[in-house]
Amino acid sequence: MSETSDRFAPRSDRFYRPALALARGALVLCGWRLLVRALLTLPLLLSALQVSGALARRPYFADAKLPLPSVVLLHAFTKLASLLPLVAGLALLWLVIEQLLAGGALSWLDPMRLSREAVHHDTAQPSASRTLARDGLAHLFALLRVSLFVATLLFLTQRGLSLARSSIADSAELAGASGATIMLTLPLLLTLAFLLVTVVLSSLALHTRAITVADGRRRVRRTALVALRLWRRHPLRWLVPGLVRLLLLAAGAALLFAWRQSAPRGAALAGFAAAWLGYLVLETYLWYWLLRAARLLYAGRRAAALRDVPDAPWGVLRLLRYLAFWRRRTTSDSTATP
Amino acid sequence: MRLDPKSRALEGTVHLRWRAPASAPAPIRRVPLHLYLNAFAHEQTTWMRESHRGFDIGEFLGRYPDPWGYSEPTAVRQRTRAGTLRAAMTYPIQPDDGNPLDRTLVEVMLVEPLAPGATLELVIDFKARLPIPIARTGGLDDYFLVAQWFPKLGAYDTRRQRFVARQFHGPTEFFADFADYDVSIDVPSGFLVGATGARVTPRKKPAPGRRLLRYRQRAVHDFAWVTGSALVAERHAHRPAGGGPTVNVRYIVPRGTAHQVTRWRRAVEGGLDVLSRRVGPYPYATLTVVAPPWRGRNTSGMEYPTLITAIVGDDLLDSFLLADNKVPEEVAIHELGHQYFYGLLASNEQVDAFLDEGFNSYWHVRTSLAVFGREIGHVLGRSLSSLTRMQAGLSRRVGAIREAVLRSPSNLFYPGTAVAHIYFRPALTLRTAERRFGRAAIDRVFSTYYARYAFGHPKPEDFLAVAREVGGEALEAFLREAFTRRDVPDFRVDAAKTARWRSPRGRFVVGGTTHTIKTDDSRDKRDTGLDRRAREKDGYVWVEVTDPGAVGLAGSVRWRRFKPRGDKRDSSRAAAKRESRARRYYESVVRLIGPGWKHLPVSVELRFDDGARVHDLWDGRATWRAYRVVRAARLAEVRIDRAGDIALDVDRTNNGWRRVPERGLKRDLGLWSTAIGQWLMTALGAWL
Repeated sequence: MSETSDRFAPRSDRFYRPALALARGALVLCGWRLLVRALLTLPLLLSALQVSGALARRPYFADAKLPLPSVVLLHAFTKLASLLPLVAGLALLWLVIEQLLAGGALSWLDPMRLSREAVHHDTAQPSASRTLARDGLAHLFALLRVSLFVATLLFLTQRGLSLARSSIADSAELAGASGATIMLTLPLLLTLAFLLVTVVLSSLALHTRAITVADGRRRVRRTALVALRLWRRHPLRWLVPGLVRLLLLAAGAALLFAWRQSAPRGAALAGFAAAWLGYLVLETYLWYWLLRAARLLYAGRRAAALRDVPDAPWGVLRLLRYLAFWRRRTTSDSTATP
Repeated sequence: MRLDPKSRALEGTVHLRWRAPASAPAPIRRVPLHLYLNAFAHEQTTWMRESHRGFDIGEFLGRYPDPWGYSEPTAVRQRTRAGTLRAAMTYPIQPDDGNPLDRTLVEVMLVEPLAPGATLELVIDFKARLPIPIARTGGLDDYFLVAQWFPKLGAYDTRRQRFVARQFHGPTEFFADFADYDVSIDVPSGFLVGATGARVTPRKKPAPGRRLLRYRQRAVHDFAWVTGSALVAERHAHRPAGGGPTVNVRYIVPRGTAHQVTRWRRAVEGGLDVLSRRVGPYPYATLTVVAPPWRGRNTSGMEYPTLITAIVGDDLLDSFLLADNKVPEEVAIHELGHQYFYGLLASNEQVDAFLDEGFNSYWHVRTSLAVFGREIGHVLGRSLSSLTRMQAGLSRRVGAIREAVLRSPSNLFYPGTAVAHIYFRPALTLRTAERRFGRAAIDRVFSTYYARYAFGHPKPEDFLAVAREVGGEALEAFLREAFTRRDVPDFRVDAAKTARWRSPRGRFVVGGTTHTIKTDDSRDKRDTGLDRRAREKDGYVWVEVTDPGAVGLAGSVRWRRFKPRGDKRDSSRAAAKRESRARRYYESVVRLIGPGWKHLPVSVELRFDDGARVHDLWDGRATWRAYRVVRAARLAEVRIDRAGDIALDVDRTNNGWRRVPERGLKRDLGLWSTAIGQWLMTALGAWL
């Protein structure tokens, strides 16, 4: 990193509070995200209304007492489950779009660039929208590989915990533990452990993405190691993105649960819909906040040494190739001996 | 009978006396013995192959490397006419499936043939080992449910004049003759014991470090006992409201869960009251209710004469999941009901399992409702009654059903449907019968059935005969059809539409006047050619009913008039507006699909926008039926079986149609499911 750009690096060790303020172009970024999301969800909304409309034509559902009895609700879920393939497809598409938006936004939220603009009043830069599209596309493939990397880690964690659950449950049963311990306490603890891991992995994903975009890195596993070294320098702050996202998801789940439990009609339904829209706006703002804070964190003084870590491949493939060649050579040498 | 808890070993001697029926056509040369514990001897027994309730032996073996149990007669001797004991030969037989690895049934070749009316006396030394609880029996460390533990004589069917013993199968249970039991139990000191029957003074003193207990019970067809070092017991006497002796109920629960006895008491005492009033008095003076510890949960929910196991006794019952839920109590009520259907009526469960499980399931729903009212069963504040759970259970399996309930043996139902046939279908059939013929009629049928066949091993035909005699021909015809039909009935609205009635285009004559309607005219001359019945000047709604008929029943298209129920006048402002305009007529067409049963009529209701309701009772014999109505109001709703009388019709989602969807529900579920989709998208974005 050059000295010129260091002049614009964040001076303080505060990252999350300064990131709360809306930077120039922040509204554009958030607006694009909300718009894309709304457009993406439109087919789902139309399909959902079609399915729910068909349900609402059946007196079994339409005349049931509110809140819907368990069996009626179960039948409704069974019918609504026809939406699952669409939801899965849209979720995957959203994951790709999210990387595009994140790449562009992380690029736009470069603290050095924003500081430079603030000092020199340089407004001749490309617009936020153009950066979003151009830099988003430039980093898309790298960020998608980050998703794949984290998904692999998440899968391995889940498998590990699942095996652990089975093993611990066996041991607990053999030790004469109660049903409450095995059926309630143990699953609760394992769920907590899983959530803790998701907090770490979610944070890892975000910081890896921020570093990838900041330095233009392309080696995902090596960048993830840099992100982990950043964790050592900021043990608590590094975890904030995962924690915030988890809380956000929990809040969303609670809102949806409350919605279903109260089976609202009329104004109450409008209230829940408005609350959900508010939730989506909040989620978008938090997305912006966490991206900006991640960039600030990596641009901070304590991360200076990390920025010099080379983006070279580990050479695993080269090593394997070398080992294979070496083995072939030694084998041919030994057979050539008279 | 001696139990060694460490090795789970049992050792004992059976002194068996059995009198051959005097009506037996020939001397008896062989008698069958059940060795039920051998079902748990290895993974290729018939029971294991049939894999009761999808039991995963691999996972179980991962936890318990040596869970196996077995039963083996070491010496079988017959007392001869000379009074001496002579060894008899035994050999395994597999009459049901020829599985050479199954030894749950052996045959004893008698040393001396047994003449009709003579008494057989066998002395059987045996050793056995209880399995780690896989299902229904077993134990480990400090808890043992010792059931199906002794070599047991197969039942003799006096109607067919032969033994009817079968191997032990996964989906079905037991069948045996009634007998008087006198059992001495030898366990380590410090072990609490509960057993079938009443405790009496033992014949001899126990060995040091041991306890010796003796139990006797007359007229039961099995004997089970429970023992453990971490169990406690409470005894409460209860006099059933419907009569019979005062029952000494002994509750045996794991130490630390004695406070849960109040739950079991409410269920058991309430159950005894209801069943004794509706079915008949419970004749025994004792009942033992066991709540197994968590490790013994595979022995929960079982019934033996005067001894039942409820769901587990565990802190889990005090948790937020089950503290206010009555499902555990319901299990206790179900097992209590078995005292009647399995214990006292004692039908052949291996052949006609539904006579026990199905009838008992019907009664456990009724009993639970009577004892707990609406508070039974809920999930997150939403009601989930036993009946709806049963309907949901049948609904899940309905696609796989291939057979009728009334077929035997009961272990050979299409894989995965045994529970539906044995439990749900008969219970829902009885529920349907109750709604159609009245609760009192069903009560009379059951009380007569019980009074006539207690200790009598009734068969399905016996029950149907009682139903005919007490409940009438229609009841018997319905039950017979429900038990013998392969399909589960499903009534549904196949099509429904309503549209503006228009004059028929073309040339036609009405009242001597010829009309020619062209395409452009049909809107203006909208009443021309309208059937005068559509104007309803007589106050009746005229409906064209198409019934295609069935085998032996001619089809027809008939106009029928119905006196509409409900207020035809709609007082709303919109209705007033409609009135002020010229009257418009609508043609509504409805097509319904039914199962085509002979004895399953169903009510059909058509509701119109003006509030008029037309009720028709469809005899249900044809497989479909159509209605066509032309009147001055649009069809608003069609309902089949609005009151839910046909409990057997488990898919009730298709029993109705509304022209206008319920907007609140449509928006609520539509927006909510979209929000769920968005939340999932957020989750994916957050984690990846």
